[in-house]
Amino acid sequence: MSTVAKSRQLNLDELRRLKWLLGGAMALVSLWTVFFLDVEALGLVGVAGTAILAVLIWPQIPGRVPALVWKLAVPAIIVAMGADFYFSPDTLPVLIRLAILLVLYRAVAYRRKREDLQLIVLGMFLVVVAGVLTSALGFAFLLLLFTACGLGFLFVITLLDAAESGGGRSPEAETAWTRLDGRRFFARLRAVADWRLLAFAAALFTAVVAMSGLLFLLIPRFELASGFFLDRYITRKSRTGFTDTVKFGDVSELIRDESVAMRVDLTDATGLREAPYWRLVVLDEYTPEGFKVSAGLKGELIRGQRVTQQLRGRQLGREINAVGGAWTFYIEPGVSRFLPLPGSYGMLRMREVSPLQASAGHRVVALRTEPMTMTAFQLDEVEMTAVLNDARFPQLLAAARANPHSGSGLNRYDPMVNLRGPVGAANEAVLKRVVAEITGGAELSAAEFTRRAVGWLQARHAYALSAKLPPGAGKDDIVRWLDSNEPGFCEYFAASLTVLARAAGHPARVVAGFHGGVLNAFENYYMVRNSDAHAWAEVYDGKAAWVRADPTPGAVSSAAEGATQAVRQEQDSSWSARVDSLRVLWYRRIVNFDSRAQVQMLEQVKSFTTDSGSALRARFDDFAKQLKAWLRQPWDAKRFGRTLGLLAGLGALGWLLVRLGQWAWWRWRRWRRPQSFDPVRLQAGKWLIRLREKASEDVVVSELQRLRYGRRETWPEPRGVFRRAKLARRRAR
Amino acid sequence: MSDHAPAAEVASTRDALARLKANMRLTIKGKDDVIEQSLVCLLAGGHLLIEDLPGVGKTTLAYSLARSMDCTFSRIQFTSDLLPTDVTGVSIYDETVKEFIFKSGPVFANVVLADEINRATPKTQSALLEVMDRSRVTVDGEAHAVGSPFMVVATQNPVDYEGTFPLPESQMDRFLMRLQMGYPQPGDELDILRAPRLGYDAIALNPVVTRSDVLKMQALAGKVFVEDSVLDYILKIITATRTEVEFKAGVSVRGGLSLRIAAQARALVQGRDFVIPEDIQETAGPVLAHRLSLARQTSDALEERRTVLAALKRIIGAIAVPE
Repeated sequence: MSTVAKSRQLNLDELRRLKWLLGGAMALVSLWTVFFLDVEALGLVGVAGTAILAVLIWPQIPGRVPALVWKLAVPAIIVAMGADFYFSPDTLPVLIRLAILLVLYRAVAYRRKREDLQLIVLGMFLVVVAGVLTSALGFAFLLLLFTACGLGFLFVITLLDAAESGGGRSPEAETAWTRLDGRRFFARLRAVADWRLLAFAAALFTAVVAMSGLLFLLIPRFELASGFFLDRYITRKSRTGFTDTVKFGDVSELIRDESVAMRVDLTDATGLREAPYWRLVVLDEYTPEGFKVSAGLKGELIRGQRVTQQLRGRQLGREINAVGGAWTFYIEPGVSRFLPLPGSYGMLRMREVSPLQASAGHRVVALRTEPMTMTAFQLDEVEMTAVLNDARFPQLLAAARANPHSGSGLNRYDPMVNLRGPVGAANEAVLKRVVAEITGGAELSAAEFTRRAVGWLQARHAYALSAKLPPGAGKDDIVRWLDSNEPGFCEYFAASLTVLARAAGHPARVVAGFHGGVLNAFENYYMVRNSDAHAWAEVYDGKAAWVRADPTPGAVSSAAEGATQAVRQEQDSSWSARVDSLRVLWYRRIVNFDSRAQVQMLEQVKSFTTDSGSALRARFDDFAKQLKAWLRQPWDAKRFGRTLGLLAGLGALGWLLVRLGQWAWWRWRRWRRPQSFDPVRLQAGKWLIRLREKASEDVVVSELQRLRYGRRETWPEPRGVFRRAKLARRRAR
Repeated sequence: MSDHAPAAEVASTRDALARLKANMRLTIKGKDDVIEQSLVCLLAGGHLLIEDLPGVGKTTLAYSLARSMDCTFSRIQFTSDLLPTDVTGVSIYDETVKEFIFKSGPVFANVVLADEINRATPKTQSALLEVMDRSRVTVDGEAHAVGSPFMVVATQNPVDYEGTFPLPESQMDRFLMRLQMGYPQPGDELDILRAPRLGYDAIALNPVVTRSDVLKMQALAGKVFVEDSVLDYILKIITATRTEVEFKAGVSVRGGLSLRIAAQARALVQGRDFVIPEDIQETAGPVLAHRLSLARQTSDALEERRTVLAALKRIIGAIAVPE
């Protein structure tokens, strides 16, 4: 039946072409997910993607490849996989590479139904593995895309299956679809695409996604992550900034990295005036290359290790000025094993039970190993302060001074490490000279010394992202810089202040972390980028506290100034912030959605419905009361007239709106089908249906028929006909 | 000449047709629907195929039609030894004028009854079919116009197929409509039995319309207005027959055109100058059924006819009527 070729449905060959397209698109989407993984397969993905794209555009290519190639392809894949297994230390990357190869093979060769289904399974493997390993937002998008392609693909397969039941086509006819002209094919697709079908498909897809979302919200939660062998394989690493040793330049290197390091979600952002210092790691031991975490502190951390989900911070009972409500941190993988703390806190809660190392005196909390996935934890009762009380340090210091040879090591914390600076005559001479220059020979308190030292440093050095070190034999880097007029960055300033304070006899240490961040105006959270990395110093006040001192020019709030000077809060309401807030929503509501959040959400829903229900009832009661009162007021002619006028006006407005709606509807109809549209014909058609069942007058019916089907020039006056039709219907009743 | 039907002409056509109907009713009892359908066929300028048993009034119908409109009538009884020239006429040599002169055959009339058309050989059949198509006879390179108006009423027996040459589908397509007479109702048959006359020669009917009236009415039928949505309705029906698995092949383009002109003619018979969907529904069976053949084998023609009509009814029922 060749006359059907131009029908409103796709024929078999066009369906096959559509299937080919959808299968290819699906394969491409699944390959795309590999970009999220840290697997050495980018070259392979590139080659596979190009090949698939090529056969999508020119589907006749696979037909021209010699049959021998197809025959050899499977053994070749097996051999390649064997070799890969042999040489590669890990299993998962090999499996992923194998999946890529198989997807490639299935996507570029002509497929039968069985092989179509294999393609879906292979693609799904890649998508699911990427999803489980990364839990990134992009994955959610790809999953949706893959689902759409896959549903369409299955639909076309089903159609083809129903249509092809006859079978027994010649090999020539079997590949006829590859010779369809691409442009014409797309024109055909456009021609048969019915907006109703598209709307139906979109509705169906939305329903599937909504159902999945509902299931996601309702199924019981259980912890899988800790049991997963996949934990070791992760997403692309962001640059690791903070480890036990921070060399000069490490932090400033991070400053050039604009990627997001962490997001901190606040339940209440009103009390925040200062840009927070996110304290990550305390670097108390000086080495000529830079500061590092001393062995004593490391030992303290290891000794303080507990496998727990909760960690108590400061003791309860003290009056504090808590800000921010509950602070929930989402830290990108690879930032640090140390947890950023914006100040003292009441309670720290991890998302799951994990090995936590904590040092109360240094106020440092760390995970045992560097996390490979997004880390999330929560702090409450956070107090942002530049002063860090450490009641233990004076005792340690006194004990160490009394017995200077007790030594340090993993088992004991040696407080003297906070006083050691560069050694050697050349270094010491410079430091002595500078300290004398700052103090002027007077005996200063730690606070006063810090203030003057910061002033001295900022007078000598400007801020720059790169530092040049002047030459000088026998001197440590930091001493050479200190003694020059070269500009430098935060680490140089912080280290110099620390070294100077130590030289002057005040215990001091370098602290590294982040400073500031941008408050997202849409979702109430801080977005801290790697470029916000910062280093500052803490100087012991001689009594029982460490006071923050930030000597870097432009970083502003030093211990003394911080209290008086309100720091500008950066608020971001750009489009990128909007997109980023989506990512936080993803972390907060999807990735981090545990049983607690589930219960919380259900309670929210419950309270929302009961609240809105009672509010509605109250409003209705109120309205009824008002109406009653209004009706009871005395009625006179004027009031009556006014009310009637108002009602008439409202009626007219309603009528106008209805007419406007009809007009818009007609306009739309006329736009959709310009030839066959005529409001009078439509109206007459409706009246004919209404009068069909009634045994009504033939004259009216024939007039209506003339309006509906007759030539326009011969029409009777339409309004009169419709009026008569109305009368006829009334009479028939 | 305007391209639409003036109201006055439509009204006069309605009156003329009413007279025709009343006149034919005098001889054809209780077959109003067949009379109306044959008038539709006449107005549409088509040819009629009546499939039924012998002796149910086929000849009477054709004769009454011819007589009522003052037209010539001829009857050809088709047999297996009938020659094409027996139908069309022949050129014979005239000694007196010393040249060939054309002796016209029975086909030179306004209404031609081709009785039992399937008994003739294909050659003879096709001679008639050519005349039906072109309204002229070509003998020795010379064209001779047959009567105007010209209408062939062919009959065939659907039961007795012994020694016949069934018309191929391509030739069935030439007939605008296929009708069944059926037995009359008992009361009507009693009237027929009471009547004294025998055979159609005894029928004495006065003409009620003239030949030129008929030609005018035929011209008018083509001007009956068909609205776009109604044309679309026809198209949908035609297309549906082409995708229906029960049929070997769908209705041809000529079939679609025939449906349109038949619907126009029916509208005119009903006194309208525009087509309504009901016209299409009423004429679809007679116009389309004989153009469709089933994909599977059936035991006899009657069963095939029933199945085709049922399938057609189902198809039309499934298509949304333009409201």
